[in-house]
Amino acid sequence: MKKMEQLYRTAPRRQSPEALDQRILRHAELQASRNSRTAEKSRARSSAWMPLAATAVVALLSVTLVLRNPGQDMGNLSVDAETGGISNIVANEPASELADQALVTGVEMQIDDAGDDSVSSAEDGSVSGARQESAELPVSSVPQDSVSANSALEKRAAQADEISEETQTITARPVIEAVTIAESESDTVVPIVDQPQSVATESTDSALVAELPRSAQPSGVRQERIRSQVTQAGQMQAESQVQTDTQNPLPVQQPRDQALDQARDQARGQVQPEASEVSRGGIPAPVRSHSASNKMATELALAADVATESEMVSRSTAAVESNSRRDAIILIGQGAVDWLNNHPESHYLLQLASADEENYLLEFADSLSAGLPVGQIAVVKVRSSSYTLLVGGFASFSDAETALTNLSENARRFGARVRNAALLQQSLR
Amino acid sequence: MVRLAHVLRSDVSLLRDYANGNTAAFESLYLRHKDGLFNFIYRSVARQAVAEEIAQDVWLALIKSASGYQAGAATFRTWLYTIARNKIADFYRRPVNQHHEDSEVDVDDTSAVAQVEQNLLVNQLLQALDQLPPEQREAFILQQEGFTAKEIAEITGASKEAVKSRLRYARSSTRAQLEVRA
Repeated sequence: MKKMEQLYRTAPRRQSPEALDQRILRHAELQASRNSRTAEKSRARSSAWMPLAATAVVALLSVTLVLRNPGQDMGNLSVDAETGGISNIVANEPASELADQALVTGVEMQIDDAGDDSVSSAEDGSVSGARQESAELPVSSVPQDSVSANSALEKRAAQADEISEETQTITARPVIEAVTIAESESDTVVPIVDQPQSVATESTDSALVAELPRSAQPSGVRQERIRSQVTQAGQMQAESQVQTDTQNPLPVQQPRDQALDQARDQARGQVQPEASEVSRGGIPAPVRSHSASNKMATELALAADVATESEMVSRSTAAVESNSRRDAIILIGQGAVDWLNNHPESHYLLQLASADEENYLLEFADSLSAGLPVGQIAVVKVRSSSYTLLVGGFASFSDAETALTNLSENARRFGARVRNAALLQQSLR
Repeated sequence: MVRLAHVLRSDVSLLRDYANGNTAAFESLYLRHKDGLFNFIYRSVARQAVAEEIAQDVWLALIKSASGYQAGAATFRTWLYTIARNKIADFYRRPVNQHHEDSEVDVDDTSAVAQVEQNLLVNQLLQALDQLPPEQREAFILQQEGFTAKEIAEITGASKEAVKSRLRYARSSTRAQLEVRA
């Protein structure tokens, strides 16, 4: 009995192959990193819970406090008044110029004004003093500075009125000039092409004339004459516009895409005869009127479009070729599963590599497309998270082993080995 | 590179370290048990490719459930061989695998001429073992791997008495086979 056991122990012990060791250790590393990522995620979730909860509580408390004290006056901060006042103080402007702003600030910022004294220097003491007094005293006892400030306010309003009148005069100047020219050359056509189109309409004319300052407005007779001249000019411009439209067969505002399409057809030499004639005889206004830079931009866009299209065509052709090549050799998905299940259970296959990502195996299989013993390769998902690259099948283990021995070094580098078809089929389920 | 500190640590401690992300601990654990386990599997199925596949399945199952291992239930080694035994049982459960048609014969190519007779005897023993029922064979191989009857009972899920009985039958059957061959 003991002799038999001793004999058994003298039998050579089979050792785990190195390729298997590498595969298992690599898988262990991957699993460890996956576990650590999961742990980090759960840790991040648990660590973020406290600050989020604290923020939510603080926000809730703040809202509750505000809602529970609705009648309390929080005061209004007039930023313009404050900053304007301080900047003017720094600019050493006289107090009378600042009084309007100081007065406004003093009335609105009664609560905050006490703190402003710390800001004011010796030079602007009068200003801040005026602000404080005007804030505290009744209207009848407002000091002289404040009175002068009110007068300055009125003065500024008058200046603003003058400025607005000047602006209106400047705005109306082209119309007046046109009218003056029309008056001097009563029988000639008024050149109002460069003027805005709205000026050439009757309704706009009357509105503009009415908006002229009184000093610039003509007398009643003259006004009627000007009105008729302007109306006439507007009609002439409208007529000339109609003539231009009649000469141009295509609409003036042609869409850019349409122009690009035509240019693209022209570049390809596929332009229809009628369209070519139209292009030669009556080139569409937008295309013809384009400046040199616009033309160049159009051509560049056209070239880019054509290049992109040709690139896309070549890419799709390459993809189709690649897919057809891949489908001819490599089976994936359900096709691979069916292929594996069709093997008799006593057959053997070569497993070239296994990985968690299908793409790695596809790339590897692509690199091996030539020089494999059997023409068909399959990438099969054998477990919930791993894929295996298979070649086969072989009727006997020895055939498979021979094929394995004859594999190139490149094909064997990821631990190629013989696998039983029945076991592989079992691992699919 | 296996660290020296890992050599002195228990299997359970290394497995716990691996469950916490220490891959070096797993490497130590793997190197400690890989050959014994592979030999057990190979002796059970007698085919290199199938043995590799089953060994891979066993280790992947262990990696997956490393964090779920409970030290009190069984020793690590018993647990590992239990997984392997179940995988082997799955393999033999399929009708196509119930016959060892293409069992590989161990021949040490590098042996000297004086060991030829010994090799012949060893091969006869291995072939005799192949003829045993799976339960008797696994009990015998596990005993040769150093497990006690109690541990074999844990691994196989049988009672201790049943294991002793299987061992007894295995020895007598093997001896009879060897005598016939001789």
